[in-house]
Amino acid sequence: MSTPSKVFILYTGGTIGMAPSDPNNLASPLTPQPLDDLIQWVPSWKNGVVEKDEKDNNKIKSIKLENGISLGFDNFEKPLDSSNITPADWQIMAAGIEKVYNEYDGFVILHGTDTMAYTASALSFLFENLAKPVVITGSQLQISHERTDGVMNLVNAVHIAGWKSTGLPCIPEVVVCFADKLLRGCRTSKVSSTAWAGFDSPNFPHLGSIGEHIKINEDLLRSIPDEKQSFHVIKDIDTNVIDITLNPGMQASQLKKIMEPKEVHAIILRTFGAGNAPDKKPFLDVIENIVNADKTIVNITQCQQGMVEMGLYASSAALLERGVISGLDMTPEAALTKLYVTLANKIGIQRALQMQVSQRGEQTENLFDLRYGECGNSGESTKSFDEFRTPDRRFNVKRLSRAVVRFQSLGVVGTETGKPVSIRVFMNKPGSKSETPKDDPALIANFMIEADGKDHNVVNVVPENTSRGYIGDGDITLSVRADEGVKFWFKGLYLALFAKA
Amino acid sequence: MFESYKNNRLKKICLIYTGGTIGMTKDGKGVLRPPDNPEDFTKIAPEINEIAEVDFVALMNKDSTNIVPSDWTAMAQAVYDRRNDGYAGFVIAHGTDTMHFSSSALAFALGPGLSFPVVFTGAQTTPAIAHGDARINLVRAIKVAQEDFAEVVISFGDYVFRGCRTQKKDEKRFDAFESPAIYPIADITEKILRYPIARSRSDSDVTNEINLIPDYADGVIQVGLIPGLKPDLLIPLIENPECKGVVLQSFGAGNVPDDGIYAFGDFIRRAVSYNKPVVITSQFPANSTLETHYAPGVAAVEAGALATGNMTSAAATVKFRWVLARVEKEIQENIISTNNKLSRIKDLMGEVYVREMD
Repeated sequence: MSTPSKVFILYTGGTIGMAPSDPNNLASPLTPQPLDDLIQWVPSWKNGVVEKDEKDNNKIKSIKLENGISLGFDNFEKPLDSSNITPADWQIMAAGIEKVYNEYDGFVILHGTDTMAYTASALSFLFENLAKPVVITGSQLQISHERTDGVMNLVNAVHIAGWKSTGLPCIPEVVVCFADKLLRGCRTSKVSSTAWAGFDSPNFPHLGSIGEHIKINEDLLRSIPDEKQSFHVIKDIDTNVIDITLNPGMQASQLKKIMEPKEVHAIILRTFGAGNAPDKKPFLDVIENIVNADKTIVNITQCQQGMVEMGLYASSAALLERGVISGLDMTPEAALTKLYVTLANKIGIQRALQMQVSQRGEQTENLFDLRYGECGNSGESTKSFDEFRTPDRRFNVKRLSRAVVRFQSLGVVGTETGKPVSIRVFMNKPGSKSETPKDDPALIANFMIEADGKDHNVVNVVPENTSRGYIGDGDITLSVRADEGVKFWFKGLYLALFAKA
Repeated sequence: MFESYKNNRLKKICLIYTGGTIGMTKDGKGVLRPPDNPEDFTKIAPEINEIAEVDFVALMNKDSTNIVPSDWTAMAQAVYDRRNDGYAGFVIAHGTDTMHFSSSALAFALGPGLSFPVVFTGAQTTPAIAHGDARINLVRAIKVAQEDFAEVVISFGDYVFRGCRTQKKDEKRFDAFESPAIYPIADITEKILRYPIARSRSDSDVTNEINLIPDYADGVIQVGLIPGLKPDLLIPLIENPECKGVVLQSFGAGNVPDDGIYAFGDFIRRAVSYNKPVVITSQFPANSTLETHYAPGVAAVEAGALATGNMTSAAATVKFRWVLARVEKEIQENIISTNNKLSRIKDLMGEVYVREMD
């Protein structure tokens, strides 16, 4: 006899429960059907012990299966096609689970495929201290269809949620179980609208594979929260966000127009490649004005796979400097839903930090962008600069993968016009002098700048031994030095720290 | 000297350089930038001169992020002007970020009359990376341009894709592109293995007459449908006189919300009343948005939105701009009246022109 467990199934609608609106016309538009019509199609559940609803004898309240799992059910009053799922519905789902959270060992949500990845991401962020599996599934063909994938998906999802009975590890996360894959919810993207394997996590390994056996990669699972950290649901979200895809020749003025209404609080900007956007002045000016109006811009890539590398190259650094937030390698679904939550309760620099640091395992790296401020201008230059910044407490130097130092609008006046001069940046060595040797291990960048009176944007990846040796858990001081007789100014000095999440 | 070409007369290939990673070099400061002298570009793969007689055209030198529709026009014109100069094919070296937009744009500009290959290629790494893909992709593209193709293609990694059916899928890996709705049109092996769907120089519909239509309208904006997006937020967008049309990127197979305050029907009808088309694309163009059986997709089309079959989002957006420019010109020349603008756009969008959908 296997260990008894309780699994709660919440039916929200979607293809899995659809049927032609006109039963006599198979080509009529598909519309969602009630829950009880759906569960009768699972052959292995027919042997279960059924308990009917006390009030409505036609309604199934629970089924006790032979494998020890007891199923409890609830459903949306009006099952929805998933393209009509809204943030209010996420709250209904979250509240539905919160209500019975202590009663059950795991949860299954039946959902349409179109916005399943959005819901999976949203619930990941809405649930704090989740200690039990929430498994989202659905199907590409309705469960009544002779070739349906719905039965398999539903039964597998129940097996994962009923971990106490099935002997699988407890997955304290929102996950998507679809076809042969088990995926972290906030890493999941829809990748095909027709294939059985309609979902994938392009930037993260699968949490599990489903074949003859269900195999879970336990190393990848998030840890189960401490018992003192009680489960709760975040209620406040701000959905006044627009999702814009860059395409060649898009006018900056249009972007401006979109962001003008005060109801629009943020945009998700789907840029090219590794976070690239036009670096022409009109475009950057519009970006700057949007950010100055206290609106948020999050940069994610149009490519299914890959990471926004703002701050690694001079062209995209221009966006970071203007206050654009890096979406790193988040899926569009995760970036959006995380933004909904972040917009509602974080302001200013905290908002950028919150977005650029992993909350639920939704990204591979965290980005801490330290801003050391400006120094003089072309009329008023200086010979040296020292400033310190303290990284956020979530920064862990042991997980540092890359450190990148960059100047925005760096200019120099030297002894001889046009001749390149050396501008050196030292880390945690405030006593450095202009004659400190160039092989000093605290030297993190040596920029050769032409003394032409013009502004230069320059970037340098800090050598690994330096960043490891000279960054501790505390403050990070940067000191800028130049050759004798050389003066400089800059609009911004930045240190971007990328650390494994 | 490379074996197989020793005693053959080399074919003529025109190599057009537009910029991108494939040509980038490191300057003294360690910053990547386009080569000061674009002619240096051909030096990344000296062997191309042993497999073809290569003429080099330095058309522009741009990071592909900064490519705009007037650059598409310049590229199409550059090919068109040299169409009778005895070239077996053209290679266009281009940045990867927007290559699929440019290849779609040239497919429409040069049209179904094209009787030779126009091969886009580029690279994920600069030529300085020894194990990178810059040199090999260029050499392969020069080879592909000599083969029996009569269309705009992207040659990248191990595959040749139809230019108007390709999208960028990965910003790092060497297999950067995919063609989600159809197979690649050829595999690159020792021989170039063409698949039957590839368009051949000898196909009956290849006319040798290029009807060059290289113009693209501006004012098209692409908005993603996301759960919780109130259509009202987008009203200022369509009221802006600079906006000539909207591309809505749908969930899945073309479904658009049709419920309550999030329903897009009124928004679409309003845009249509302003004579501004609304085009629906899918991020997953494997399935046709035209044949949707789901109520929410049907509602959008009934409200006047234009479905885009299984076109990629990039091809649909480019085609939309190209159709819009054509129709604007027809109105200007009094060939059609403004009242018929939307129906004319609908007809042209629905018509397969260069196998951009099926």
